[in-house]
Amino acid sequence: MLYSYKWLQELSQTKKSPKEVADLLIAHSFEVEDITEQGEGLDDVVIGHVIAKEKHPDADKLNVVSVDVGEERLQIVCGAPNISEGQRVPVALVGAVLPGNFEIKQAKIRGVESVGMICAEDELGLGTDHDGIMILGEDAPVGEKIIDYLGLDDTVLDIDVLPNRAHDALSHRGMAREIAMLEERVLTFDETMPADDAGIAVEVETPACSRYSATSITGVEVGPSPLWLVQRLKSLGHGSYNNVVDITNYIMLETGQPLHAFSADFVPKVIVRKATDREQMTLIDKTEVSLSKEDIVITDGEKPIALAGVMGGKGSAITDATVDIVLEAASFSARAIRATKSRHGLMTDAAYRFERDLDPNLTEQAAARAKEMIQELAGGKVVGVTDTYPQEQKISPWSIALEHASVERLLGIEIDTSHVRKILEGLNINVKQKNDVYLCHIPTYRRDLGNAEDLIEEIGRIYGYQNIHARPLVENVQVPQYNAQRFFERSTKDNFAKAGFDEVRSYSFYSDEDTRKAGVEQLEHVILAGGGDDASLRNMRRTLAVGLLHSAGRNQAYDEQTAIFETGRLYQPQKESGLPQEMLMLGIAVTSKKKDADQFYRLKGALETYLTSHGVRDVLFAPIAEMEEVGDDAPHLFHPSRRAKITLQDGMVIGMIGEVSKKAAKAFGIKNARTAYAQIDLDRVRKEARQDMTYESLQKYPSVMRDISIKVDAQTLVADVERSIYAAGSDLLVDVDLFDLYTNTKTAERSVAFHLIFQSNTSTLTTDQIDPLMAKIIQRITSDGWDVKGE
Amino acid sequence: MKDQLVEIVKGALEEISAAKTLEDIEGVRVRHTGKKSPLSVLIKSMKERTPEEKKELGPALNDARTEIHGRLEERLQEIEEAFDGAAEWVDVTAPGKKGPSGHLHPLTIVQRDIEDIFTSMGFEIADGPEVETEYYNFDAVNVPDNHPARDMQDTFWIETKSDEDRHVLRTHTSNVQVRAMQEKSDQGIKPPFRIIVPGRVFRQEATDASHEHTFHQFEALVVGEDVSVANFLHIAESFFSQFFGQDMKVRVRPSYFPFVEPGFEFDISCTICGGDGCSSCQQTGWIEVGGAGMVHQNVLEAGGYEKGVYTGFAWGFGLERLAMMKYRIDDIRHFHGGDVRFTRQF
Repeated sequence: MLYSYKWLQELSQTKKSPKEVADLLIAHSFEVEDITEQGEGLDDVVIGHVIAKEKHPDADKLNVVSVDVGEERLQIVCGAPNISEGQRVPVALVGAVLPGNFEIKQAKIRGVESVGMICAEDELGLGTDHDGIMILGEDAPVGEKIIDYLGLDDTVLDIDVLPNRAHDALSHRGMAREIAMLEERVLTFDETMPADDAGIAVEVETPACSRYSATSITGVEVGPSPLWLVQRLKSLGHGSYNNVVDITNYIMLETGQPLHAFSADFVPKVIVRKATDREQMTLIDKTEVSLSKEDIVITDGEKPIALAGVMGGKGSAITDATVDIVLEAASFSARAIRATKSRHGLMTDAAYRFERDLDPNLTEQAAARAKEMIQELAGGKVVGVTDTYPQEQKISPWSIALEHASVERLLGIEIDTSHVRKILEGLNINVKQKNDVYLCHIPTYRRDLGNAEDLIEEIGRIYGYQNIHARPLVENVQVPQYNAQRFFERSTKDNFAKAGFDEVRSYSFYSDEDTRKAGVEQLEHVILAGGGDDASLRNMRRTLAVGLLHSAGRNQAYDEQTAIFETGRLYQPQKESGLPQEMLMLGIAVTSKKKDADQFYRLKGALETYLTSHGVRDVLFAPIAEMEEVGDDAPHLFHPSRRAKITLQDGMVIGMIGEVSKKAAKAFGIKNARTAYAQIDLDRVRKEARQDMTYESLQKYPSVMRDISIKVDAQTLVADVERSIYAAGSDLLVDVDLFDLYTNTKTAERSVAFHLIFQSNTSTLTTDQIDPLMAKIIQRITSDGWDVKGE
Repeated sequence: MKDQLVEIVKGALEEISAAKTLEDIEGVRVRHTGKKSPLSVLIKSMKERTPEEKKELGPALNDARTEIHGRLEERLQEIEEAFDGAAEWVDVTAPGKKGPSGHLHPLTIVQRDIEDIFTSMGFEIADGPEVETEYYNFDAVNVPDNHPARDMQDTFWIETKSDEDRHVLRTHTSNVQVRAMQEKSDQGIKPPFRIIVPGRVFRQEATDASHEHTFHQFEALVVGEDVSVANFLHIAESFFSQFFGQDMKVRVRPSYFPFVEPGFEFDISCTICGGDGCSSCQQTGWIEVGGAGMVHQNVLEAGGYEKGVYTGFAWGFGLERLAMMKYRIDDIRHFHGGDVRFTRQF
């Protein structure tokens, strides 16, 4: 909220400068977002009188005017459409530096000398209006500084009052009370407004209205507000309508209590009730609203004349013709007002305060202040006051027992009981001390103070957090639980970074279009982030491919070859209700302009090295058949004959790998390059990771290597050939290692060559032992329908 | 005879000295020590000699053979160890051949630093769901429905088909406070404990150089029998001093977060000027870092601990903000931009 420094000063009697007040508040109470000196840059702006106006000889839209600024007459070229003779206008003299560091210089405009500038509101930093120059009142004294004339010698403080202090501090009185308290003075405001028998009839039919007071005032002269009032409201972000409405806004800013003035002609009586479903009303700003039975309305006995706590109705508004008014000062349920405000999208100042739960006792001082001001500025006379404040709604000071020890315990300080008492009493809290317990009676405007901790907070901030000194914890340290998932993820990242992959991070959601590009189907299961209309925030991710491929496409411009990875969560919706399952995944991608399948094998190799080094052995890579469902939609992303599922021995799928189809790559902006992508489930891998290695004695006898080269048909799997070799090779065959793979592009025949490693742990193997094994292997290969070269 | 032997030795030694390559040496070896070499022939012929001759010539032959073998060996070593400085010159300033090297994301690095520092102070690392129930994100941490405090965070809600429990993308890592405490209290574990929760959070706001809808928060929670504001200051100062590798001061200012009471914002002394005031800290000497406070008794109660028995503090701040301060990054959008030129700087 914006606060006028002058106003706070009048109320609090502080002698501090605006900056000092701000520092005091920052240290003990509130964040001060901004300090704005009102007249900043306006020292050389004076009131001018337009004496004459002529068309510019060379420009249709410009005028050359002669302006009397008191001591001299200036010739100024002016482009504003609304300028005319006789007006009083703000004139920036040559040498003035306006807000925004805009310096006024003498200049020739299209050949005509111009000395100074006639200003629009926004140029003076006084508003946003730039439709034309600012026109001042006819009585504005020529030559006087605009600062003096408009009362711009104030400083506005933008102070951030959070919901806990909204009950008491969203007003100048409240803020002044805070400042005085910090300067060790207690301010109280206690005007009363006794009810009488002459007021209008008020019936409150809903407990959501805790208090309703109506003051009848007659003989009001509705008209413009005095300049000081207009200016003060304006500097605090409020427009000016007429003196009565302006006074209600002013009192709200002063006391925190929203008021509403009705034209009495339309308010024979007041009934406060819940609205009926689809009950219609027109608000003061002409919006039509269709009400719900949760809304509270002020009615004239039949139809709504105000949407309670939010906005008045159009029909009963104050107009220039109004003579008699009914002034409402009421209190409503915070929850109800908040719901109404949200339901109808009406963010008004009144609703902002009511939804923060005001003290119903506040209505009296506001009504009393309004009465004074209306009498003074609009000449009205109070003829009756009605005040409905049922006993069961009454709020009286409540008590909190506070133990001295708990203050010291929570803040970590030693403090005298007298010091605590002084702080509490400074808050206008009535304290009775019994041994080491303070019995505190809380003033009703401090609705946030509900328990001992709330009071300790007050003591802490007023004592000054800067006076609390760091102390080490003396608690026992428990052995922290090891977060296995977190450290496995860490090790996974290290692995891929060392292998030459760069880590990227992408958002947890993507658009429908990305969903299609990545070939992720089953849209009906996707969880939607509601509210936003940004398409890229729509679907919670079910694959890391979208982020990584976008990144690969983007990085192509700088990189011959991109190798990237990401670890992050995927969100798997549940069929029934409940939170989605969040799965920690690893995605890796390699893009390169090198032709053919190198990328696939590079990625596969990196993955194999990773899995082996993390104790996951016996992983299978199996081709994914045309229509096969493997529990994830990623296969649609891949080249149909270059994709595999990654499974454990028991068939559990832990991930996918493949070359991204040309269509998908293109959709993600990857051009002229092959991209391989793999994704694995880190939780499944972690559960499989075996760290329980046991030592095997070192081999004493040398191994023997034999090579074998085999001709196979197109699409014969290396894995199948290996399996045959192992099956025939006995225990002495310890390793089969592919060292050459060649495909004859004409015949589609492939030749595969392996090193076969034989070893015994009991003796050095001889030719006589190995030859029969080789013969068995060759026989097996042949019987499986493949040709062993050289046989 | 003797003269012949002297000639043989002389010839052999000359050839040995003239040898330049390993092949030369091998040739010399065959010619002078092989079966058909003059020396071998002479040795063979000894059988036919008289005992006197044998006695006289034997040792000389042995010496000759030893000398030739010795010189051969010597020369072989000379040749093996010889090098041609000009031919084998290497430009030591040319770049080395690099192995593969990828880079970790700066958030990963910062998060690890934080985890390591806190782990060393006895904290455990907890995790929780990113898609969260309304209860754990709001109600459990004392942010009731229909309370203005809900407006303090712009929330992404999850579209639901029915009126089941409403879900949100968590707006803070504080959702894990009550989950972690419940997990402990369910197992009968009582305070003290110390927990950190680093993780991804979401706020529905427009992005610019300093705002993102997706960012990372870091939450610390300490609960015990006598945990105070002064303890918070100590842990915070210890952490930041370690993290930035210099002595850091922590300042707290009153503020309001529903899950703490008292609640405050905390600042750290400016890492650039050390607190003297500079343009980075707008001449204040302080940089705003995050929110903190003493855990609200309602939150402890939701976590399964009776009100009034324990006290604790909780704090949270943005990892991106810390990374931006540490590495002087000027635009928060780089973190999720997927540009490897960004990652490769770290």
